[in-house]
Amino acid sequence: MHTFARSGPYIRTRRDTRFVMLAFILATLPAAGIGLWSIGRLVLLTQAADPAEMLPAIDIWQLRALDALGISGNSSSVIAGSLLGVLLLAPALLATLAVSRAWAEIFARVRARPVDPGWALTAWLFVLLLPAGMPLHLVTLALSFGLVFGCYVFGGTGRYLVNPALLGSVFLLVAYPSQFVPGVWILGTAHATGWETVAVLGPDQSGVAWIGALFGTDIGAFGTSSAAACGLGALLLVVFGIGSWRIMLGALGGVVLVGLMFTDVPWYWQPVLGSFAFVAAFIATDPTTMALTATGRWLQGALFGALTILLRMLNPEHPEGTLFALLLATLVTPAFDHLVTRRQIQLRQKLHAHDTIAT
Amino acid sequence: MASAPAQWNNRPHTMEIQIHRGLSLDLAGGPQQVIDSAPRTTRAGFIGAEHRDIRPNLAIAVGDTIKLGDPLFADRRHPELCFTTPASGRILDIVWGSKRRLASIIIDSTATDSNPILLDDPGPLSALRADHIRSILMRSGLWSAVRARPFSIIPVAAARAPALFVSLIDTHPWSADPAVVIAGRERELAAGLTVLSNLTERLYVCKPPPLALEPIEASNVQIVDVSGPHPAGLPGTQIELLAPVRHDRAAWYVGYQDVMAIGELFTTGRLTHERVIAIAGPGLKRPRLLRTHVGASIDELLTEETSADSFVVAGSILSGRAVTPDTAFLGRYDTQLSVLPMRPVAESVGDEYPSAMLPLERFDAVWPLHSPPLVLLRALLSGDTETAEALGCLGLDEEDLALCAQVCPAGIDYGAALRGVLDDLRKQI
Repeated sequence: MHTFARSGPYIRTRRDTRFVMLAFILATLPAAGIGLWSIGRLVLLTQAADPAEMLPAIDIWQLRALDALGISGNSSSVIAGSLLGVLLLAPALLATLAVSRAWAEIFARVRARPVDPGWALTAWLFVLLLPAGMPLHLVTLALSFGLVFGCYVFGGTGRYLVNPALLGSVFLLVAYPSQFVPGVWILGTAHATGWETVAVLGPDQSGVAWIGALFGTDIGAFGTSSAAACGLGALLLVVFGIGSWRIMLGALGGVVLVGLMFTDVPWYWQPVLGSFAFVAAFIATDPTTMALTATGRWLQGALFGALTILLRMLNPEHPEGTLFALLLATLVTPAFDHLVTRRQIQLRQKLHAHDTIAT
Repeated sequence: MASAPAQWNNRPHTMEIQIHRGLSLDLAGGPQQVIDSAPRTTRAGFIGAEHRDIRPNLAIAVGDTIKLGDPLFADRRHPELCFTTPASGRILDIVWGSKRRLASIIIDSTATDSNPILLDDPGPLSALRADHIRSILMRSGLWSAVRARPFSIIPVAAARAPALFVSLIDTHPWSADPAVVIAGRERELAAGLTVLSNLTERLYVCKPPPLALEPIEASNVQIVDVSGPHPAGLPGTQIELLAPVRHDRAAWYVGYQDVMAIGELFTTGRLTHERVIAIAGPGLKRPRLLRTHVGASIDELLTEETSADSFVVAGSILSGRAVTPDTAFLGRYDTQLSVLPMRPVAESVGDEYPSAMLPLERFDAVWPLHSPPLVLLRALLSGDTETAEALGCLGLDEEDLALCAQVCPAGIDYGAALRGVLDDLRKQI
């Protein structure tokens, strides 16, 4: 738990910045694992040509590799689904890691500072927010935008204003909406997300199972299909003493409270659909952009949750309202901190004015 | 004193403060709470570095022979503020640090000490005048035991303070239990508290609930039962919760062992430098308490206690100072030595460019004060004196931020940032 150093502070926590970054990656592993299986399963389900819908058969090297390995492309096989998911993720992951490390090295050289400790985590979170088959040049461009203008111009981890993975994803949404909207483009084919199906057809007619969406069949990005796994990751972060439970509970509270105001989609569907659970657990809790005051953290989380629902309901076509919601909530957070701090200062001055010493 | 008049007794109700947020580090190597007498050391030293912004006007030179209690120097701007030698003997060396600040005065103390009588019968302690007490303490050198917030400096200008704090609870890791140190010397403690009560509007005596005190002959004493994890025992915590300071409203504080020395001075007339310290840490054969004196050579105290090279921090591992050969002596404010074996102590790497502050909920978990810690820390790091002052940084000292540095993922030394802001504020005031 502790380590000793020869210059002050002489005793330091072992849970240093590296540990924080590693813990975030560890906490996302359940969500990533289930997400990869889920996407692999979806591709296996839809790989055959569908003449009725005029869809050609999916022909990608990942499927051929699966065949070459002698693994049957059966969608009910967990191994086949997971392995296919890993193969689908691999190019994007390698590309984002390379891009992120490259920018970290460049800015470390230019500034004569150590390499930023957050480079791997940013790449990892960014890739988990991508749908499968996103063209690699777009991946590279968006992540570079997020890293340079979201992170390194401000001085890197601990100093930026908006999470760079979040900014990169929002960049993709804004600059290349056709790749995302409507639904999710997985390997060049549009899939309606669970949220869209439920919002358009209503939960009863949609054929989407609530339990399935909770545990991992929601259609979306690599990391977002299982709200339950994201919840487990959130719990891990809290146990590690790293994630802010105030932000997470605030976000859930915001989603549920505002969700109660709308009747088309029952409130309990809201937290399990789309990327809300993933963003609430791993992006909203980014320590760098976290509110500095405890009250500010509650407000930050609640605003993010409330905006998520509002954006979803105002624009049901848009499955990833969570990203915009978090972007807005993060930008408002310093104002929350300012108000809370001013209130604290006023209380303190009042205490002085009375010169109170309770007897 | 058993038959003290009713108005002398402590206020009818003791206040209570329960600290919930904080961190009591569970470290192996804690001291056994029994006091051994340490052997006499052949060298002694006066630590100049711990007295902030004192400009010494030396009264001695290398080679002079001095007796316990003789003046070493007075402050150039306040000649009445006298610093006395902690031991008798011959001056071996006067060491200057950076910016020509006095680092230490080293004394060959092979000669035997005799505690000088500085005071004839002072009369009833509860009726002493503040300026009289002050001049006696200044002459004896014991005034340097009194410190003031803001700035943790020895108060030279004022004779009285709105509030004076004595903490009988020590929550530092590896610290001595004050109850063990006080045992048998309760009268000196009560006498010292009575003397100090004349220097203030209100004397706050913060103690753990089980500790019983002799009656204090003063009507302005507030006994406060303090419980909870570190930093419950720090004067900074107690001051902020009971009588927060402002730029025009100071709070003074004195260590309880110095209070006992003051009590002894005013009851027997004798000046003593006795000090019980805790020696603890994984670098020691037998961590326990030692009875020695202020100024004792740390190297000599520890020769028999350690088997290999050690890394020694005078004070708590959280907020003490690493000793160098020139400063390896017990300072006026040191009540413990934290000893680590040399090998597990890592040379700090990456200190040159520590990564930026990463706000986490764990900062809130170790911060018992009202102000939001992360806002305060960020204000300190960015040199925002206005916000830092509004959030109460004037009442704080490096040691109050030590837990924040301990839990900080980036290992940032917030104490240093605080000192920078305090120095700026001091210029403004």
